[in-house]
Amino acid sequence: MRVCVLPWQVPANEERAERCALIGLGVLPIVMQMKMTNSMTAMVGMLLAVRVGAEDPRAMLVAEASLRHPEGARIYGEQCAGCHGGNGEGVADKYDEALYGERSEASLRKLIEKTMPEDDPGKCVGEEAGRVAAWVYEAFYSPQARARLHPPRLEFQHLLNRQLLQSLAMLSDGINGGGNADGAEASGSEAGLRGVYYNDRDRKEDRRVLERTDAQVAFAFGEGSPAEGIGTEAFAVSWSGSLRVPAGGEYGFRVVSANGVRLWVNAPAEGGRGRGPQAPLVDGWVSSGNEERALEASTVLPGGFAVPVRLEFFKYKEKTASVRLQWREPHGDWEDIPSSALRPVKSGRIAAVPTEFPPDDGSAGYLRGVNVSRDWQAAVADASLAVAGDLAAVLARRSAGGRDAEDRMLRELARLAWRRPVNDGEAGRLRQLLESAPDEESGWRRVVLAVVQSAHFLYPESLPSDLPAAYRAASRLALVLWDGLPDAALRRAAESGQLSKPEAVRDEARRMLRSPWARAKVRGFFADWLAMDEAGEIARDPGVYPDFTHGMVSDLRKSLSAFVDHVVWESSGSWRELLEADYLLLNGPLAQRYGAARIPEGRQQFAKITFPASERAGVLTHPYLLSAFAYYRSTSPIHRGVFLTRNLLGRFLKPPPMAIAFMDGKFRPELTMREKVAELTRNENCMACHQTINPLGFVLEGYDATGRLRYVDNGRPVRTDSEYVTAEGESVLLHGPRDLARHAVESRDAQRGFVRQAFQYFTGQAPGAYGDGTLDALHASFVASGFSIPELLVRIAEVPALHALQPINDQKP
Amino acid sequence: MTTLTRRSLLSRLRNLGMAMPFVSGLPVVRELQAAGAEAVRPRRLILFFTPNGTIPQEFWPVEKDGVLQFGRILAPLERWKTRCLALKGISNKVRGDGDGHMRGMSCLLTGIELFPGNIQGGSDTPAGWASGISIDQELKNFHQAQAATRTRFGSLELGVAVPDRADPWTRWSYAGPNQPMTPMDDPGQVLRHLYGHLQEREALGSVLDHVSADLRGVAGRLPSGDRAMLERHLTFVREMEISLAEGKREVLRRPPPEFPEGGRPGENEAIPETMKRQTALLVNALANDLARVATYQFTNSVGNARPTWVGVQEGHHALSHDPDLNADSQDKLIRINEWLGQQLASLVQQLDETPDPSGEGTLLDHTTVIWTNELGKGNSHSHDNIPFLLIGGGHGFRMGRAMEFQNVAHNRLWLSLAHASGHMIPTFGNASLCEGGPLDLS
Repeated sequence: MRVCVLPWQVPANEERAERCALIGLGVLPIVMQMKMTNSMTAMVGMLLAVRVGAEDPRAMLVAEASLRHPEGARIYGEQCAGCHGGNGEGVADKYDEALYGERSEASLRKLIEKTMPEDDPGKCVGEEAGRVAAWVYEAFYSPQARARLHPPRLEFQHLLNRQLLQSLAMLSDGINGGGNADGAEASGSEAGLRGVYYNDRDRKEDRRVLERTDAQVAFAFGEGSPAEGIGTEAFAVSWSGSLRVPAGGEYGFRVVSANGVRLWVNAPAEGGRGRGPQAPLVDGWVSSGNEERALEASTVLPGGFAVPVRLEFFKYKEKTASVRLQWREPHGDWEDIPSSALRPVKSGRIAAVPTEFPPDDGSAGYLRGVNVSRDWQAAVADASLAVAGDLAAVLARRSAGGRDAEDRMLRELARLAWRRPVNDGEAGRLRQLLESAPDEESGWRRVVLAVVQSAHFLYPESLPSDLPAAYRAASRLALVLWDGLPDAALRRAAESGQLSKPEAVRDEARRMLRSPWARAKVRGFFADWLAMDEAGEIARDPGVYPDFTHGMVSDLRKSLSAFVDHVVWESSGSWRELLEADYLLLNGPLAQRYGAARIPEGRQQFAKITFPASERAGVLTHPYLLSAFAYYRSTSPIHRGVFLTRNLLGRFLKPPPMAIAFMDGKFRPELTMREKVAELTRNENCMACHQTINPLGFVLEGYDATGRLRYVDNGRPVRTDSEYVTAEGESVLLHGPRDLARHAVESRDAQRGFVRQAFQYFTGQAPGAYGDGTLDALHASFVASGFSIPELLVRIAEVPALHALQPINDQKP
Repeated sequence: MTTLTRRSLLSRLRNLGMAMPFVSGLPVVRELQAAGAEAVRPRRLILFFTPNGTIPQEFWPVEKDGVLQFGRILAPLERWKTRCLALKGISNKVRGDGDGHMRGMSCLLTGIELFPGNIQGGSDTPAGWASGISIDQELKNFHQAQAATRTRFGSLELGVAVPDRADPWTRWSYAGPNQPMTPMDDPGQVLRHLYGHLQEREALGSVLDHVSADLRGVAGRLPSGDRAMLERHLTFVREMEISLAEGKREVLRRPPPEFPEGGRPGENEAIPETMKRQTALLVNALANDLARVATYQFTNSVGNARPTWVGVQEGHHALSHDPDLNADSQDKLIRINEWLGQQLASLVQQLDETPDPSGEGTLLDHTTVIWTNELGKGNSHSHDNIPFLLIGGGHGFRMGRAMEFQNVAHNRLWLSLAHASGHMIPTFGNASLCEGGPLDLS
């Protein structure tokens, strides 16, 4: 057996190549495996090569560190391995948590000096502690070591739930001729619905008096007439147009009227009046004693689309007339549908699947389609039945006219869903299905079921390897920026082959970002980054905050979304502005409550209102987040601190070693919240993380549990100054939120953290999976662009779009 | 509406693996069979509506030597005349808002006034929906509240050529005040409602081979780590395939009737075929014990079908306004009602030929079919002497008779029906119209 010692000092990314070369030469790669037990410590530093599997990066890394820090390895073996395991993996019943984290080497050394070994702290100090720290840091503790121990790889994934629903909606749009998103934007088209007014209870042409665009449907006609030329006893109005759906989800609709009303939302073109898919969503055609009633129903709508809406109204001999059209957005509150969501132009129905899916795997800190379960498969089957029911009739109609028309439609359907042209064999098999059914429509139902449940649809990376790169780029761009399928323009770009060049890909990505689908996805990302749904329902003790109602919470959520939208799409687009802005977007009631200098009118308009710079700093101090991370009656510096540490500063926190409930009654009554938290977490074990968490949370103590400024806590002045230690071990004095914002925007970790989180959300992969330098390169371009978020998204989309092959096949030779 | 259906389908799909065979999922039957005896006699009810009043001289039977004599309209029911009970002298006495047709329809099963509203008829004041529950829904709730009589749907609301609009002329069944029930008038829709899960299973089953092949094809190109996920997926698809195949073998007592999808069930010329299918579906649903109560509505109040298939070109409603002396119109109206009698006879015949799911006798032995109308007579718009013809043995009434009452409120008939179902309510609908209590039909 030939023994070969690998050159330890080669940088990580060259190392793999080196090993491959060795394998190529038929040389057995030999590395040292250091089992750091007492009996083996003497071997450290000696070139006793133990043959291990060539693919064991752990052994390589440990051996490498041991060669550099033999003394550290020896001491670790003697004093630490008993509890922490030979490679820091932990020992059951002693200390079973693996050793890894983001302390600096110096900080590790301090920790060891202060606390280790547990039975005799003070035994391992000075030089000795320094050597152990160095070895531990390089062998397994540091993020770099961990990344090499668990190298990220590209994962083959199924569509996430939101991607599946979006793709089905886009498929439905495509089958209906496409162009919905353009219609949703309907450039420059005025807001509101088209209202046609009739001077009678029937809507007969010859009684038509007036046609106009109404910004909203919210009318109290009383005993009078709605317009000149219309009597008071009997009249009718028909409002129609489209509804722009900001984000996918279940929407409530409510018509409040004392008269006859019918409402259709996202109905097929010929909305009927009976039962079935064409039936009205709300049918209150027959009034009841002229009593005003609120008729409600809900329906699932696809995000980033415009769906048709129609409301018919009539009065006949009732004393009074009134009609209001309201909605409740997901997470929202009932309100009159704002004119900004209404357009007087027509649009077509988009299939919306009401199926509930089991949640996607979030174990890596972001969602990945890696968990196929029985429930998921059943949900896919159910969703495919729903969409087949929706599309079969359209397909049958559009393919009428013989075999050629059918073939074209078959190929078109599969091409849309599978993001690529289909070959003759595939088309032939679908044709067999079409012909296997007793009639046209059920044949098409089968075809849709097969196309949508196919691996080619569900696993977007299952594109054939001989497919031109441009198709792959188109498919990935659509998934990354829209969660959906390539639209007509993207398909054309793929066909022409242009999408293989970086410039073309970027241009395409820039175009795509302007679409409402991208807006919807970006909104989803910020809701995720800002943990907007994490807190669930926000409720405050009405005894303490009597004016903090459910409606106010829903307005605050809107205010935050509007702020993010404003910064990203209308203002600088810069991430710095998100953190440093000295303004909020507020409506009337919010402005009133949060002490704004100016009070805008009404509840639906959110106006930009500037505050003194010391009072507000972007998302950091947005009242929605300050409320979300707070208790029923009091603030929670811990929740705020954890959010800031993880999401804002991009730092890593392990789950707490034990769960401790915060019980307000357990503290001495005169303590402030800051003092209570300090007392609760003063234990050394807790402080490992809380020395980071607490100072960040304390900085925001100047805001109460609803995000309003406060200067007193429990009768004592609030302190917002704190000393925060960065991951590099540097101490920073923070005097309030503005200092924190300044620190964050200048912090490399925070910048990289944002890039990483965005990358993970948009691609569903870790940046390192596309190569070690991916995050560095993205970070560099993020800095160079002045922290432009839209530009970052273009660069993020470019990475997978231009990535060469299918998931890297490590296993195959 | 769709949401609910899809969600319930989802839960069914998810439980496919554990799903009980269809038949044993019906609690009533299982309990009855376990007891080995008929603990609770099923009391099925079908309320059959046809519009525009009847032609009294050809409808009302007479009793001669204890035997019923039928005129032209009831002639098709000759075979079952010992099982028929004609009730003359019953009137819809509900007054208030709404024209005669609206009240005739929406107060027929509810026995209570309409709310004031915005729907204007040919006369009188505008009105809204009925202000109370209808007898079919009242009995459905009663059956559904008890394990022994609970069925999957409880009630079915069927129709033939019901216009595509909801108003007091087109609705007679009410779940409560202001809550009209929408009848299903498309046999395809009824089939999906009753057996949609089976149809969807079939469609799903037909493509799973394809799904598996695609999964295998893609899996073959992947490294082993990624392949494992697709193999797991493949396993679930196979399991679904097996469970669907088992589902196919599930034995319904009566398989659903088969007919091609599509057609235009709302169109005039399709009415006879639609009626045939709806009747078959109704009998089938009862035979599978999916519901204990059904309403079956031919068109609507003021229904204006043009029964060209019996040689009548005019609309039913238009004809019904003609005076008695117009012999031609009278004859046409009789022909229309004769045809409706034949439709009823076809329903009765199928009930008579189908074994009852309780295991004893036929459906007809345990079902009462009631043929009624929104008016007594079309040209007078009278609410007096509304036709009520009962057929079958569902409620233990003494049949084979023609009874005559002295202008009693129809609320009392519904009270009799409730009591005969075991539901001992003191009044039904407008309480003041219940004076005298249930009619004695024993």
